[in-house]
Amino acid sequence: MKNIIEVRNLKKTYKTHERKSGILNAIKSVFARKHRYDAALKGINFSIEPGEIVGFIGPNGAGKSTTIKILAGLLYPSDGEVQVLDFIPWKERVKYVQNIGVVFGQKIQLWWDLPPLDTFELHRDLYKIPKEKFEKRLKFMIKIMGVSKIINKPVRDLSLGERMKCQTIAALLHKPKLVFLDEPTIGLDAVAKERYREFILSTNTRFGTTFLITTHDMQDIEKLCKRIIIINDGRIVYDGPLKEIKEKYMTTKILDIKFDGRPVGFKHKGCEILKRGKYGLKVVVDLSKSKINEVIDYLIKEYEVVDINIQDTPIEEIIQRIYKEKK
Amino acid sequence: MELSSELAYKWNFIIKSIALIISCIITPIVTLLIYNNTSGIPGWSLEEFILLQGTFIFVLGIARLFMFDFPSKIISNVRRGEFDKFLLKPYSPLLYLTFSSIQIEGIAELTTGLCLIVWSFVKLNLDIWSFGFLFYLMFIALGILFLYSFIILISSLSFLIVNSYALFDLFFKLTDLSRYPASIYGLTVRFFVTFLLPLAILGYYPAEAMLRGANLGLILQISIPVILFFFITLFLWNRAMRKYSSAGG
Amino acid sequence: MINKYLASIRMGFKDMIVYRFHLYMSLITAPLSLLIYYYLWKSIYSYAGQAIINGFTFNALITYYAINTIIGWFVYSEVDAWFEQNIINGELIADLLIPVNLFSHYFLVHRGYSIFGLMVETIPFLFIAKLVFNIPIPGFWILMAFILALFFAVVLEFMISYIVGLTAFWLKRITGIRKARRTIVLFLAGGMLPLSFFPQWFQDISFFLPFKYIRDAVVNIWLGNYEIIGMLQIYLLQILWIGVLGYIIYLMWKRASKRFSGAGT
Repeated sequence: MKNIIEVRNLKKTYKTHERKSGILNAIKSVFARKHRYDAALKGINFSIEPGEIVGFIGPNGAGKSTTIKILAGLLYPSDGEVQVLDFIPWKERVKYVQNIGVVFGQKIQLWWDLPPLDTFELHRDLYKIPKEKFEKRLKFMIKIMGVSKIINKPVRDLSLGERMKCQTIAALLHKPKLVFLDEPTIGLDAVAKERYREFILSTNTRFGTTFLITTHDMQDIEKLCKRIIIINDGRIVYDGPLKEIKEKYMTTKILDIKFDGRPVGFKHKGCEILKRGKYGLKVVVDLSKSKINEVIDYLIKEYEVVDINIQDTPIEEIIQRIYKEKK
Repeated sequence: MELSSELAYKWNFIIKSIALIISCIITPIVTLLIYNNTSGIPGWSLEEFILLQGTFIFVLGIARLFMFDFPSKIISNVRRGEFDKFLLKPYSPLLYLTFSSIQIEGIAELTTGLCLIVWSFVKLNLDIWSFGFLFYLMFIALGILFLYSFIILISSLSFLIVNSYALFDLFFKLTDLSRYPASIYGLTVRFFVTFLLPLAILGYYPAEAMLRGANLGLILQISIPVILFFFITLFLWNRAMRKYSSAGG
Repeated sequence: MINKYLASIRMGFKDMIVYRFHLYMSLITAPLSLLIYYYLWKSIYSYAGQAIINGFTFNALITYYAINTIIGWFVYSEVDAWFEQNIINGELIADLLIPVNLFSHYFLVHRGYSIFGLMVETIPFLFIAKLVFNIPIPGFWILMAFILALFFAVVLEFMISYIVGLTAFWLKRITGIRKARRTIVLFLAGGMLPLSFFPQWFQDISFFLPFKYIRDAVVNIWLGNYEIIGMLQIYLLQILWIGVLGYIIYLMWKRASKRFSGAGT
């Protein structure tokens, strides 16, 4: 099948000004400023097939957002070739964006003083969505996202999570073939996140929509993506099935446990205590030796547990281990 | 802190100051053009007129420098529900807010005003070792007090009305009344700018005192409304404070 | 197709409804300004003892200021502030992601503002001005000629503020230039004093600059001070300047979009 996204040797360099704090430095900078060149992308290659949901992950400043912005036609690359849906994104912007949907979790894409419904209607007319289709899709999306109560409130009065849901609706109303989601689950609570993921999955299966998602939430990745691309310091470190990474590197989980009382004599197969507090423990669980629910069963049986927090291996650690392996 | 972050945007700071100077001198330029084309306003020569406008710009500059940031600070804090932090300080929130907010653009206005004043003093050959000058300074001080009262008024109202920024705009429009000699207005307007909302103290009365002297009657007639206005706004402020703290924010 | 443009206008209109309180305020402030001018010029006219100064009768001069106020509402543009804000917080991307030309979208949103302003500011103000200050309302054809010139004036001022807005791609904070633009354009366009009060050399230069065609010339059409030839000349110069400024915008945008990083600070 023909690829929906094709990226070859993509590079992006930013020119920035150095700015030091303090009045004296500020006055100095009025007369002479130093430039610095930061390479955000150092030549990346990948391609995505129609219908895929690809997770795009990496630490802060790795180049995720830059890549998404270039793919969405917002930025000019410094070098390299990009072809998305037979378009070169940064050329013919108006025509191109008609075919894609983009959600930036950190930005506001709705009219600030107006209810989300007004932005939806603006999109209806700008993307030329027929009225009946618009009503039908909107009804469906509102239901599945659970936002029927807020679409008539001004956006400025909405919470971050509510804004995100509406923003996603706005970006998907015109049924784009390709959707970029940049940190879409920021500000959502656990239930809402679950709903959001279901929404993405059902859109993907029903319409064959292709998704490229960046996120810090490993749960998002696990639930949504079969394939991930890991980027670090402007280079792609890994591109392949999530399963492989999971089996190879996500072999541990971290448990943060709070007890009602002092935990004495905690001991379980494959567990190692990282930190011991007065009423709490931080434990690394080696998943090859012990399943996570076994550990939790053990804890609940033996102790008065107040709270358990399960964390995945941080992405930074996975990257470090991938590097180590390469050497 | 604020100064250095302002300076970091070099162009903005420089151009902002130039912009303010330009908008300050445009009114005197308009005056100049009017006097070039007509015989002007009865009783006021060009230089005298410029003295009035220079004084007005100077007073406004002082107010901008020290006070104009004050209502917006209160409004934004009240909106975010963070005003309580001012009540927890061991000194009066009014004094604290007055001296903690500075808008450096005020310097541009202040300087322009001062230049215009000096120019007209030289042109008119005015004597600064005179009672007139003493009254001039006194009226300027009253003008600053008046603007301060007005700031307090808007700030007090911002606890009650959501849209108090609009009041600030309205006030700025009202100060346009101070740009011209009060003698040109009809009786009602004159009464309004002298007694009800003593806007004439911002330019007209100081210039009058400097140019034509003042007597006790005039001084009383002008200072009483200003001082009264100050105490009324102070009273309103205290009421607003009491209401705010008893409501628990 | 037309729906696409109406949509932007509709958004501007709805957005203005949120700020209607500010517009209501101008129904107090605008007559107040006119009242101040009324007193100022009344004393000047009576002191001069002339019925006509620089071609203006007292009534014509007050009309000049009244119509200027209305033009001010129509040409009002905050697109420069949008650019500044959206570039600093990176939210310009939201407007770049919708399938619409940025210039026309922003322009049409502003026209939504204008339509709302026409209803709550212009028409009530004209009533007040007619009743209190006896402002003459011209006949149908002159009014049409005025509206056409006003439309070009709106485009001109919008383009100037658009250019100022685009400088934010290089300078980031442009509060200073924005404020300067407002006052300088107002002054040079004759928004504070008719250009006939300016020195002759200045009037000669003004003929070739765009500013005169934003206010002074447009008001003078209302006042009936132009024959058909004069009007055509005004339209021609307005269109000429729209072309020039449009080209500048095109060039600036080409360079600016390459600089855009979409980052927020």
